[in-house]
Amino acid sequence: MLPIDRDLQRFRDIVKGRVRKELRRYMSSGELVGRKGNDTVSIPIHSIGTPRLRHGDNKKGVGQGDGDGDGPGEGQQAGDAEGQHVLETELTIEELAEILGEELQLPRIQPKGQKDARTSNPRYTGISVNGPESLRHFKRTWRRALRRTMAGGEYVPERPIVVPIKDDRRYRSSRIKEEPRSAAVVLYMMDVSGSMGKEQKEIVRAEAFWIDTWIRHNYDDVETRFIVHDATAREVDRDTFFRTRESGGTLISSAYKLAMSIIDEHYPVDSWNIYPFHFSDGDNWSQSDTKLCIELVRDRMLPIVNQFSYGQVDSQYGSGQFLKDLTEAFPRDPRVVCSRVANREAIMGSIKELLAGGR
Amino acid sequence: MSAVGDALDAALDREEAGAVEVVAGPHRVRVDVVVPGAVGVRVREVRVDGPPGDVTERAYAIADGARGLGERIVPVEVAPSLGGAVLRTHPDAMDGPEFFDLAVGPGHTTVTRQRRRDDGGREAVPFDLTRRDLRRLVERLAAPTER
Repeated sequence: MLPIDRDLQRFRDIVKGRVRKELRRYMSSGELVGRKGNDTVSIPIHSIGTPRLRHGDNKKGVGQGDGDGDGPGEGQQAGDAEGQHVLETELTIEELAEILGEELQLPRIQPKGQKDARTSNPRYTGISVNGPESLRHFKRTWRRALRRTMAGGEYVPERPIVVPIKDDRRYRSSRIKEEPRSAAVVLYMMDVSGSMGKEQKEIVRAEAFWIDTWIRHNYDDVETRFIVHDATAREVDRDTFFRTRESGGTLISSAYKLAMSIIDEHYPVDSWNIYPFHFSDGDNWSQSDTKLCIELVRDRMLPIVNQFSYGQVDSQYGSGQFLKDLTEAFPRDPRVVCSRVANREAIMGSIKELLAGGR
Repeated sequence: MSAVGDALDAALDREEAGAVEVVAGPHRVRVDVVVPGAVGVRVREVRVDGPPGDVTERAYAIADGARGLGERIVPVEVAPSLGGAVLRTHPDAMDGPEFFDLAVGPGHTTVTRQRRRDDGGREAVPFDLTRRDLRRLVERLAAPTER
């Protein structure tokens, strides 16, 4: 390992340590959510600076001292000194998920049954007599040329010249290898009715980010689908999911019905691990709809999903009855996990509750 | 002055706790009185039933006119497809964990006061109104679409 690699590794360890130490703050502030790239997340590190020497006594020396001058000393002009820098570094999603898992002591998810989607990967494990020059297998080509030269009596050990001809050439060839890949689909459902405010949506956004990070860490392929609902449900993209606000009433069953139709249409149960997550303030319109929701979860969702998760986010008006009804309906079923999120500070605990089952 | 207001005043003059119910024309008013009084009353619930109307119009008209409650009331959920609306105290007007909750249907409105509990749940709590404000509130709920 080169010294620079060692230094880089040490720096990454420091960054990881800092993220670990401040994980709760990152989780509650949602600071990382907007910084996610494809495979990396930008982390603002506030107080890692270049090491510098500090002198003991800060005595006045040559050229130091209070000056005395005339004229105004205060002003509103722009400063010419350096500003305070916030260092940004990047961690991969994998690293972030590892930190999350270690800090919250999350068990690895055990994919349910044989739910493996198969993918075909070309692997260059074969040898062919034809192929592009870029794939020429030099060693094999030379070996064949050597063998031919020796067999023909042309090989002179004192002057070992081996010239491959066309027949000697060998090329790498691909073979399609089918490999099992664990795949998961995460369906996020959110109540966007009038009682869910901006703060509630930010909480859901932060939770969804960390849930996503953890599930991606556990599966090769993860697809996400987003459903918003008030009295009716519709599928939206990620951006709309976190920005939509409606003023209608809350009919939770509309979201569950849509989720089921998406699953039925696109995600065969024997190939996919399915994770529905629903967030609401729990103010369902009527008890009859709550009853319908419980029936949908029990009869349609639970037989096919790995885990059904419900997060109830408190609004300014407190939260509704849905969490209580759901908990009472599934008191000991480990496949139904409920969590109450009172405020931003509760996000970390809620994520732990939702993911602690390792399902 | 309105018939429904006068009828309610007359019923409240008896200064008895419990459910006070009056009927005036097409309206029926039910006030759950906890502590009666000549000037003010402590109530648990006020419900006004009347001829059915458009839920959305009713919700916005009540939000505009429910000033007798002393807090700014706003529509939180308006769902004509579900046949109702929920109005509550505006979050900025909340001074503590209590707020008014108005359930509006096509032909009825129920006013309660809720308190947000520490465990996230809610509970109904009694609230105080002057007799004058209660009368104004009931009159407004009985004629909500006059914006």
